[in-house]
Amino acid sequence: MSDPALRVRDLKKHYPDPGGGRMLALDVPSLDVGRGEALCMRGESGSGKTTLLNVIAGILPADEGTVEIAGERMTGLSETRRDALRARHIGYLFQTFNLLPGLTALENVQLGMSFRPRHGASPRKAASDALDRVGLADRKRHRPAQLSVGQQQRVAIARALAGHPTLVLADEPTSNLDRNLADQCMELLTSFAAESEAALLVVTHDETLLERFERVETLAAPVGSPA
Amino acid sequence: MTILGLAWRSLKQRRLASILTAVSIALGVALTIAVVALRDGAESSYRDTARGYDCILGPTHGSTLDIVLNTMFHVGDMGGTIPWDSYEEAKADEMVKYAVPYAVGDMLRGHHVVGTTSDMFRALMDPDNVPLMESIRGRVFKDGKDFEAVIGGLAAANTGLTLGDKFRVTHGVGMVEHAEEWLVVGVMKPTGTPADRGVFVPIETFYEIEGHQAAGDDVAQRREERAAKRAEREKEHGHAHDGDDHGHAHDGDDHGHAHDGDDCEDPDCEDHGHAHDGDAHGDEHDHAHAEGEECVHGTKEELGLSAVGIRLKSPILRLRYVADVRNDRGPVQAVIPQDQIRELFDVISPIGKLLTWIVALMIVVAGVGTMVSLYNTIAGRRREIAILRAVGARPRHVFSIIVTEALLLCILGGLAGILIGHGTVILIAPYLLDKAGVFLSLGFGTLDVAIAGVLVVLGLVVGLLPAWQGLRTPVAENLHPTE
Repeated sequence: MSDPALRVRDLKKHYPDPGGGRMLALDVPSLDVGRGEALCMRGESGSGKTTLLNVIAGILPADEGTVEIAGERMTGLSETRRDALRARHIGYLFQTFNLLPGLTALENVQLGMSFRPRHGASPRKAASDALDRVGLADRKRHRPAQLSVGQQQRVAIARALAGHPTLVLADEPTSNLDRNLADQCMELLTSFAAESEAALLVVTHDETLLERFERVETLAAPVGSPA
Repeated sequence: MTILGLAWRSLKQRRLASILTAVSIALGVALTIAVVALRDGAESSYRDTARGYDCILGPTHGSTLDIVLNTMFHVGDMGGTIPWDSYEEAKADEMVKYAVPYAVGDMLRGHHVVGTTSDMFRALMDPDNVPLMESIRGRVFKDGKDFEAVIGGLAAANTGLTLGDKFRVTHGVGMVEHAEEWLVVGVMKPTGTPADRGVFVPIETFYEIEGHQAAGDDVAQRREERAAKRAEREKEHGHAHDGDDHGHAHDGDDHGHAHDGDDCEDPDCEDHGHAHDGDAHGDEHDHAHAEGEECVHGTKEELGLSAVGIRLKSPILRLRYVADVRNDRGPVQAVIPQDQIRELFDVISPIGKLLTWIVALMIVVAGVGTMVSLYNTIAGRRREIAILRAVGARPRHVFSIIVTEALLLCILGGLAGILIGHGTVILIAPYLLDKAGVFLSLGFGTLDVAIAGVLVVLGLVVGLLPAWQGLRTPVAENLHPTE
């Protein structure tokens, strides 16, 4: 049996508190997400949802515990190695889209593949295909400011999935969208992830999204952390 | 997306700041190139031209540098004349290959009219060591009294004269026009020498101009001699000669005077002369005769010259020839142009080098400006850097992007500066040739390669601090606020 896309064990992350001590910000005893599986992680504000994604992505180092992506350990690696592992295996969909304003839609999608090993189609072709897939075939040369909010989110989805990552992390992907757009976005994200056979981990506090997922888990605020 | 592509797009996104930063570098580079071109152009132009003659005969009391500048570069004033005999003696000297007489003072629409002989076009060379004779379209003038002329390339362009045209000249810088007309029989192609801006006529015709024929040595010296003789004579006669020393200014152009014929009843008359040079023409040259004297005009031997350019049969003979002149030729001094120009640049060169360094510092200042500009942008680019990192860019990628931006600014600014600098040189070259006889060499050279190399190093160096600052950008904090 192959390794799961994501394996988390005894993961803890602390932040400094104003009193000079450390505050527990994240406490996840165990979490697995299989390849091609979609998981929604709900939690209240302050439960550590974004911190969880950042630690899984290697953007933040873990203080304790382990994170493995496709069998490769993320925790314990140097920053540069974490960056490389992230580039190789993870697509990240941000709450605020995080598109670079100076790049076109095509270039923004290409950017997601610029720092990972190339396999299959050229990054430009893969980016173009991904934009076609999210219905932006006629907006490839538009800059983010020339796109609607929904179109920007679709570009962000294309960027997260164009490189066929093992794991897609989505942080409150619908919080900036109205209901109709949120539905379209989630439909697109889940179907695209399924086509790409990518594991999908969505964190949200939007209860209306839960019905879209067969598997939903709750991230409890760590004991001792401010709720 | 390559590092270069990302850096380029980042610069494009901050278009105005990027352009202004590149312009500051371009200006520094352009100024450096222009100043170095001016410095080197002036020096090489003067040194090259100075090699045209082995020595120049000029008046003893004139500035040696003035003699060289006036004769070879057609700038400045001579400050006196020398006897015609000096030319004849030089021509007959067995050491001399070419003796070229010069008589100056008239102008053609801002260009010096030079009375000389066709030997000038044989003796002088262009920067490629081709005799000026070969640059003449048409033919050289006949040495004699035919009113023919050869015009330098720049003078022809400025005056619009071409083969077959006729022209008149004015006296000095004044508006008084001589009645004589010269026919253009030759037009020189541009040679990159001061000859480009000269108008050359047979020296014989120069003295045929009404008002030019009285010649001789320096006016003041002549006057003193005449006054002394006159005083001696008066002393002998025991009375002051009333009305003596009645000077008269000549009609029309307030300068010398025409004397026809060979005899003068006044034994002093043969000495009446005027300095025939550009300086003297603005003066009113009194021509004094004792009362009752009837002045008839001087012989050709009495005519004066501004200078004589000497090309020896071998440069080795130079010192011997100068010594001979010093011993034998009376009121004439022999000046070695190369020595004069070398002494001139011994004084000027350190200043020129210092100026070059000062201007080159502008490039460094512009480089520091680039660093400050990039450094300041980092604070506003934290989110961009965090996004890059989040999608997989390693620290070295971020570092490379920022350094590449600095490199692009320095290289593109530098390339623009090189073009602007050479464009400036091209624009000012005709002016300098016209006004100072300096020929600026056009085209790219080792300086451009050196500047390009310096700019690459500068770009790498000034990009380090902003890049290091970019590396320190916390990714998570700048993607979105942590919970």
